[in-house]
Amino acid sequence: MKILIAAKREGWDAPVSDRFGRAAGFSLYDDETGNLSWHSNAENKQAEHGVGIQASQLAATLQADLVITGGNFGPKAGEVLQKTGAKLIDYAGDISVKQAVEKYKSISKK
Amino acid sequence: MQIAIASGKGGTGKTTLAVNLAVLLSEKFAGTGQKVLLTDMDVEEPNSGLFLQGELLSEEIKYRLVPEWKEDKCTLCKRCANICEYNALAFLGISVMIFPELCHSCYACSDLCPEDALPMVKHRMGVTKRFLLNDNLEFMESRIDIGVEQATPLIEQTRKFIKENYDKTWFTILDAPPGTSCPVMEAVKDADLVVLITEPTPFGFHDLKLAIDTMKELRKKIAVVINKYGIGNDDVLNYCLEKGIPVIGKIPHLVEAAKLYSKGKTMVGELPEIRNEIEHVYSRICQLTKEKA
Repeated sequence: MKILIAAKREGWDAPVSDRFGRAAGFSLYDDETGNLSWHSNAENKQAEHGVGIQASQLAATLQADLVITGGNFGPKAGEVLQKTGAKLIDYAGDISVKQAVEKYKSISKK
Repeated sequence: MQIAIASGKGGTGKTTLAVNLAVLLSEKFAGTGQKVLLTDMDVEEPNSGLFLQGELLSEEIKYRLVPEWKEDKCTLCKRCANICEYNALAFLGISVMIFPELCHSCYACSDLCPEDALPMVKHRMGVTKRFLLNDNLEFMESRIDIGVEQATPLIEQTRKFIKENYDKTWFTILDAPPGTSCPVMEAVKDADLVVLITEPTPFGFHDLKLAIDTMKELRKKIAVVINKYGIGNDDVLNYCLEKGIPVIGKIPHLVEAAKLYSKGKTMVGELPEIRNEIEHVYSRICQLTKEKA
């Protein structure tokens, strides 16, 4: 199972981002290995339009089962993510990547 | 000759000047064979037509082309999603999603698809209508459909329609969209002169400077008209003097003008002060475009 978390920076202690498409990047947690990998969004977040679509495309490419953001998913991102079949958590609140993983990893297994 | 009436700030008098100039010139040119075309290029909220009544000459539905994904031909190579500059395609590993509202109809994905899996198909954008107002005055407007996000493609088609159907002998007046972004830049592309209309307020002044910079970037010949003259301050006038930008009219701030506007009426027949000023604007336009007044 894989969890993709929109984050303000790399690492376990980084706060979850309240922006999805324009997050600094995405941390991918793989519960088979226990590893956290970082996928920078620095280039994509500068785009004028369609950043949510690009971020959702990344979620599809990484085959995330659960996607978490501190804010909400835009309508286009929502449309794409729905097609990928991933479970979505929005308004995760003011928590760290580590807290998000701990709080929601049970959901991704269901 | 083609004159675009533009502004930075909205609500400064683009439509007032465009419509009243068109009506005045139509009267002035009566019997001379000179024809006038007024076109509302603000496809997102065309309002020139509120002040004019005429006979409908033509009505045409306008389309733009957007790719359509053909699942049976696609080999999922992802080239389309990688090439799209506007993030209008999402590659989901097993399928491709297209967002028509983000597509700029650039054809890159369609032309570069090795399997021809993205043919371009028609999407309706809006309607263009032409009206005959009198012997020598025509009015045209394009109106975008509700929910269509991009105005520029419809403005581009309207501009090209004018180029193909109204030759240089027409005196063409364009009522441009407000602001300084793509829609206005597209609208003024063929104009021989861009008249920037502003109001003498801090807000009007601020946005006028942006509009001047935009038109300079486009290497357009520009002139300024100050509307609602008498309110605010002299910052606009002083700035134009300092920068050598011709101020070709100062339309007085009159309550009567606002009353006529609110009833959808033109001003040149009713208010001599405004008629005289618009006459003056016309003679300065002629000087600036080096044609006889």
